[in-house]
Amino acid sequence: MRVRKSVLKDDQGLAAVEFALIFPICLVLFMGVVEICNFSLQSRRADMAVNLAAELISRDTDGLLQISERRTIEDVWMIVNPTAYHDVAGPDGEWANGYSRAFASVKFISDKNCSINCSYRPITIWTFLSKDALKNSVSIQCALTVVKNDSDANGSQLRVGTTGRSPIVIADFTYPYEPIFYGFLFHDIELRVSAVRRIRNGLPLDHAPDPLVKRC
Amino acid sequence: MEKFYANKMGSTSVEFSMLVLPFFFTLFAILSVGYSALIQAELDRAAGLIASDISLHATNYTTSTGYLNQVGCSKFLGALLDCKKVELSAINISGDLRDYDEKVNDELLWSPGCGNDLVLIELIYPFSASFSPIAIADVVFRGGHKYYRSRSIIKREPILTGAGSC
Repeated sequence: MRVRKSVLKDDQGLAAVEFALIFPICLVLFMGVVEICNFSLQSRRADMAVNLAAELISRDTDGLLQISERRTIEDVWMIVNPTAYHDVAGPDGEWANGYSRAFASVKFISDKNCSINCSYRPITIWTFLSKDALKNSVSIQCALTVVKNDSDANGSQLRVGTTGRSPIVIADFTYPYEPIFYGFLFHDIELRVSAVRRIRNGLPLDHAPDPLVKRC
Repeated sequence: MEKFYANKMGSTSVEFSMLVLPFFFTLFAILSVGYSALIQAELDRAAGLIASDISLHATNYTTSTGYLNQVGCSKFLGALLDCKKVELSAINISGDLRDYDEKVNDELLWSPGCGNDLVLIELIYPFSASFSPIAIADVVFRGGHKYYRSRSIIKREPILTGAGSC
């Protein structure tokens, strides 16, 4: 008991003890800031890339997306987000790697006699998926159901706000997020970003023949 | 000598002075990571807006500096970035996009193309020295200096840019 009292009264190493208490908190803060900043950078740039991809497809002027044009659009990701996860090598001859990209062209039909407040039914013209080493790549399905605007749309759903007279194009990227401090805030996760654009010339967009493109 | 070792006066100050350095280093590292992420976010935002502007409008500017001084700085660059330090490039893409991976940032190119052309827009901004060993940013070297970088790809709007004319 005497020993314990003397230990409690001894104020040597007080600053070291205080530091030992504070330092882990600072370290956790530092790791948290780094991880959140990185997550924010990756998700922001994925969002930029998918919106640019959808915008590029929507500005096609001749109504036919060539394979070379689509490859250029696939490469947008690598230009916009060079800080993305690069460990997965792409197939031979392909620069883009580590993420999956899906595109689709959709037109709409309404009831023949309808003129005001029509409901439109989506008809997928073609859908494309280049799948990389991801577990849950989102692919855009031929059969699309229309859901409410506040729903989380996936590859088989389309929000009602995107339906209308004008045909649309959909771009969907699935990408892996590899945390800097693995397991601290996040484990490996696969994230998805999506963008929809109306085709600028108002005509349904076709795709040149390609084994990777599924016609619906 | 024994007296000196037995003397405990100022021991807390000595300990504090030893520990204050790593403490403040960690604190400044947190701040500098946040600051560089903020600059990168602001540059990404500006690059997106400038790319959108160039894609939609015909431009009469013959240099990127001219565009920045007349339009870019006042409209799209926020207070966080010093406009005089921002460098803008635009290059008309021909061939594979992969060929332009590291091509643009070597010189200030300004060829925003015509309607329907594919154009790569790049903004760079000087990267300041950081306390942190990690920078959450897209950093590139140019002329021995570090820069933040942000890029965008656009297709010049075929109608609003002058129906294909330059």
